[in-house]
Amino acid sequence: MPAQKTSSPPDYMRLLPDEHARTAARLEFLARRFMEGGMSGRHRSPQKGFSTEFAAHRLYVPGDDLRALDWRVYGRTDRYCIKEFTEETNLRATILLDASASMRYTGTKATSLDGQCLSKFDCARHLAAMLTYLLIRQQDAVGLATFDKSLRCYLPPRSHGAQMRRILSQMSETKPEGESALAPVLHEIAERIPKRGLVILISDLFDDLDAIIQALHHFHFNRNELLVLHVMADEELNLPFSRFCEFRDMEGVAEPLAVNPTALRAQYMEQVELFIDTLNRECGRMQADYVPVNTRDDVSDTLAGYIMRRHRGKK
Amino acid sequence: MVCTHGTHFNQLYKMIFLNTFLLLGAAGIAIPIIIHILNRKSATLTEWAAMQFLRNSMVTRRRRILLEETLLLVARCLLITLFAVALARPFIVPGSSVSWFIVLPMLLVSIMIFGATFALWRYPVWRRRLFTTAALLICIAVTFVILQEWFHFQIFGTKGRRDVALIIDVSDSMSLRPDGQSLFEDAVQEVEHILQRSDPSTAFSLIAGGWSPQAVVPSPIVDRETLLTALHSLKPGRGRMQGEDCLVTAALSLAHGNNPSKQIIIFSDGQRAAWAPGDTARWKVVRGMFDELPSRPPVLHRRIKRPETTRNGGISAIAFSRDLIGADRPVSIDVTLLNGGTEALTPDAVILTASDTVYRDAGIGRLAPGETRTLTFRHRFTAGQAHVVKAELAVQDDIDTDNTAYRVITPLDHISVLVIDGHPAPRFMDRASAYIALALAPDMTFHQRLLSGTSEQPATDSPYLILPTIVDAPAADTIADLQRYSLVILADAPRLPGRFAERLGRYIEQGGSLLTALGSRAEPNFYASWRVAGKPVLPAKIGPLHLTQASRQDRPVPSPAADTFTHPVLTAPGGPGEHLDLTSFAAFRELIPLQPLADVRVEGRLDTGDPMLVTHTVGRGEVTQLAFALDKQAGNLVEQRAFVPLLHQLVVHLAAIQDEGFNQLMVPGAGLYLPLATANRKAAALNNLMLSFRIGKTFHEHAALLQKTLNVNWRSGRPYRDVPKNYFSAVWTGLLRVPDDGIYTFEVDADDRMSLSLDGDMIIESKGVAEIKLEQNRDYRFMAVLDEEWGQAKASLKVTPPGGEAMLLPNAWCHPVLKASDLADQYPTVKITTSAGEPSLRVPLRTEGGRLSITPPANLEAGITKVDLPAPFAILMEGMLDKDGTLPYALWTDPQEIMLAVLDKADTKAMSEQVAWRETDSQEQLLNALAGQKFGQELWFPLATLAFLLAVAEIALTRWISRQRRVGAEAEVTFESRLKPAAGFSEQFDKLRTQRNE
Repeated sequence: MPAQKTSSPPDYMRLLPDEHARTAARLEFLARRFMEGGMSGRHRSPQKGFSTEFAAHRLYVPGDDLRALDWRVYGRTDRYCIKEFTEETNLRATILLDASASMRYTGTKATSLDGQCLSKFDCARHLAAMLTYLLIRQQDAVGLATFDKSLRCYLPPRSHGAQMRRILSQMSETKPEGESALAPVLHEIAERIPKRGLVILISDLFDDLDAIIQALHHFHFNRNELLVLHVMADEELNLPFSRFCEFRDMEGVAEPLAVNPTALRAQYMEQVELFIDTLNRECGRMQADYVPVNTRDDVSDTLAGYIMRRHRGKK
Repeated sequence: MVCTHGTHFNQLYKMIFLNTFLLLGAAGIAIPIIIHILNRKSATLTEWAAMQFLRNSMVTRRRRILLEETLLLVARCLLITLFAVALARPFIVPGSSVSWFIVLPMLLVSIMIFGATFALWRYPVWRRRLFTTAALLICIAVTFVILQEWFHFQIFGTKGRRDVALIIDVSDSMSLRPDGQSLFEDAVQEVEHILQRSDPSTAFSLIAGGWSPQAVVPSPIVDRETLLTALHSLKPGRGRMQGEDCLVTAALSLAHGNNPSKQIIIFSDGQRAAWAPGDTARWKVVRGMFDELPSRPPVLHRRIKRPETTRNGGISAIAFSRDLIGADRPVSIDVTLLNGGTEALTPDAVILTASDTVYRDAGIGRLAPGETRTLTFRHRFTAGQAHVVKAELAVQDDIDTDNTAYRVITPLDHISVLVIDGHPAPRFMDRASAYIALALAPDMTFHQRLLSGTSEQPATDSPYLILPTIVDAPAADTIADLQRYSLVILADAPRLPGRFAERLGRYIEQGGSLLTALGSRAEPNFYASWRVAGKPVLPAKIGPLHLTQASRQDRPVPSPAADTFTHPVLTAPGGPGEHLDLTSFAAFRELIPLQPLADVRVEGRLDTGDPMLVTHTVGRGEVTQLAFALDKQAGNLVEQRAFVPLLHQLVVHLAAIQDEGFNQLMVPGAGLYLPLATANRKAAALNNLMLSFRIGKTFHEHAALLQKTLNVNWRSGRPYRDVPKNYFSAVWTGLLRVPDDGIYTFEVDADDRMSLSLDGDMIIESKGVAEIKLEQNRDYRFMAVLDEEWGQAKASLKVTPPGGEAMLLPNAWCHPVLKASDLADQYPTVKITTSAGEPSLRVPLRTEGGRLSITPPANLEAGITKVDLPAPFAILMEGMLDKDGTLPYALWTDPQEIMLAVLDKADTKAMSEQVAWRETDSQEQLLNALAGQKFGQELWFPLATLAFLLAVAEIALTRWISRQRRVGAEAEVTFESRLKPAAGFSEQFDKLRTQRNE
């Protein structure tokens, strides 16, 4: 008998380990806002179609489907009214993945997978993979946009199974490098997403905060639901260094800075706190979910915790 | 202390380092700089993404970080430099004109700036500026040094006219001759060099530092010739130098100078006995004098080195076994020797010369360094003259002047004591004064002979020192003159006749002594009302007679309580007080209770607490009151062994105060009192007028005599010795006391003319008759002056008493008297002669509180100084003068000078704390000091102090910075979801995780 070939899983499947997949399988992601999906799904659509959920009455006009007449209303008012129903549609999510050089930062306290510490980009990719898996399983459409100072790759949202492979493969091939210029890229992406959908931004947001917020407002203006997954390493939050350091910009933009970190730590943490609070506040105004992701924490726990909170909060 | 380290190279810069090699430690400033640099070089290279937060933080923190780093680096560089320099012990050499107190800080600041440069290394502009500034400061400092050292610009030098007081030690120890030349001669040479080489504008005063500082040149002068002449007039061997007094004298001399800058230089061998380093009271006086000057003078001590080993023995003391020495029995003379050198001595002998009798004791043996030995001699002095006692130590040693010591003894002929007997019984032993008289002069026959009458019968042929004269109390008025008695004892006198009480009060007020032993006969009311000049004569009121257990059984027997004795006679070691204890004394049978008045001294009590012996002072006299009579009726004290010595000691003690201050041991620097009271006491016993002669306005010093009356006829001859025949005045003085009240007529007959005055009132101006009312028993100051111009000289004074006939002035009415002010006016100076054969000196005669004194010059030689008393004084002092007719005084030599110990470091340090004291080892340093150049000074202390403070500051700063930075160390940024989890979230989440893991 010929030897049976054992096939090893593709490389990109490293982005979705089994435990992550199991976690994602038990989660359900529901949109809060009205979604414009191409298919019927579980998410509310702004469109009024046939479904089980009554939306509103309107007067009959010639050509309307007589099956939609509400005879009770006619009996009471002698008027012909048509029942409108909320159309359930599927979710069109676009994952915006920051692939700038700053996302390459790993640190020593980051969570590890397969014995290796995960960089911010790795965490971001794992999060993206889990979300993709989750949404695809829900038959929602998922797209991907990777960027640094410009848009590198854009995969429009699709809901078929191959989309997941494409997304994972694209993420696997993407290397974090280059400068960050989030705002213009986000504006560009916002224009590419014409319909209401879910925008999931996974980034460290190390850029002009006001410009980023403006860009997020653009998505909000386009009636997109926003989910901001703010990825930062623990070292970036607390600057735990005690020895004299020369800090070099990973993106190669800023001048190196030689300083005793202990001398700056208090002010540094103030800056970070301010940054986070501002983001949180602005996201709250936009009714966007702001999820801090510390690379020292397990990404699946982070995501699961977020989704469960979201689920309970919706109810 | 001055250090003699240093090389010529160092001398160029005039600052040397005593531990030069430790200066290398200054290179340690490289350590903090290197650490600073290495920190940056070894900075951990960190790829960082959140640069924006770092940059934003730096915006607010950059300056502060820079400041902290700069301060720490500067502090550490300076700290290391200060420690290194302090440990190297920088020393400013005398003669340094560089103001190192400006140059050194400049150099330290440049070190600080150098350190700061590395903190600001990243800022090129600042780096250049700081480097330039540091280099500039160093250049300025070097320029200062060059300008002052090489070009002598004296930018900070102090030059100027100054006043300098030179103190030359002329004490005995300066007589040491280590190399053939004495230390004193070395000192004189040094002073000569200083005078010759110093700036001509420097003014000097000169003080001889002997037993009494003598301002030889009292005000600073620039005339070197005068100074040298005065310098060469000094001689050593003047006892012990009084260092602090010399400084006071020097300050007084500097106060007369005109220059603002003052200095004092002492040339001395450093004899320790000259100083009292620990006596802060004396130094306070010195500092007080210094503060009066425009600037406090530094005191430079030029120590004349003396040999390490010395041989010196001397006579440290001559003591007599009794204070009052009579001719009645021998007296023990203790001569104490002291070895003050560093080597043992074996003196040949001690030779004692007393009254031309020589005693020799050769069995002294070896004296170790510091050892004393006392030898005792016995000698009986004869009365009638002063005796010089001379003790010589025959020994080969380095200093001769302390090998001889002198004393003068004037044995008393008699101590006359008047005893007022309150119970003049026919039987001698029944008299109240019997036991007193026998205790003082134990010869009953003697007393019985004297008591053949009731009036005063002074005896002059008694063999005893103490001569009691007994007078019955009712006859006390008949006592002619109380002044002849050293002491009056009231032996249970009931009361005193009115006038006698008055006279006795005056006698006490004028210096007489009274001892009362009142008993059962005393009238309390009389004694309570007995006053003089408004003050009670007795120190205690007497109560009614108290009978003790002898007659009453129910009360304890009072005895003397020895633990309450404070009277000198009762507390004298080995004295009678030791015998007055319970075992030897039975009881007092009769006591007179004493109620002491205010401000009296209760100097002995009974065991019942009642006063036993009370004393107080009335005017210049002393009154001692006993609580019992000194007879058998009062108790059995008179039967005790202690009675006789007790009474003798009391008499001697009370008699000794009558001529206060008369001491034939002359203390240098102190006044010398002449025994005027003694002379007047003798005069009181004479019935004469004193005749002295005046030529022009000057009284003849040696022409005076006693005359029984005023009746002379010198015709054309000399009235007396070398008094000229013409143009002289004869002056009769004395006290006149008439026997009765009434009008007395005085008649003067004289050629050329004679005036007569009583109590200063002229009653006859030239010749003739005058009537005047006189009182009985009152002393009138009598003066008659015969002025003779030419030709015959004669004078007579007749007096007609009331109801009597004219007669020559009776001598019984007169006795001579000396008044201090009159003597000082008539004889303004007296001649004194020392025993060293020096020319006689004349010193002023002064009055002081009714006493006569002279101030001997400070440069007296050791030995005997003889005072040539004016003739009237000398006549009355007959018996107390030496065979030359002069009054001898022995100059007291200080035994401390025998000890040849020098000031040590502890002493000089103690003195440095009192004044700006500096020890110098060379003339160069003195000349530099005179030129106003800075004295040698170590700088390690201020540098070390600054370093210590800086270390504390650096530690504090480091800790503060660390604490500031650790504030944020424990905190963490809150980075978690703000979404509030719903109820049951945790259980759901845990369930999910469990399912995932399955």
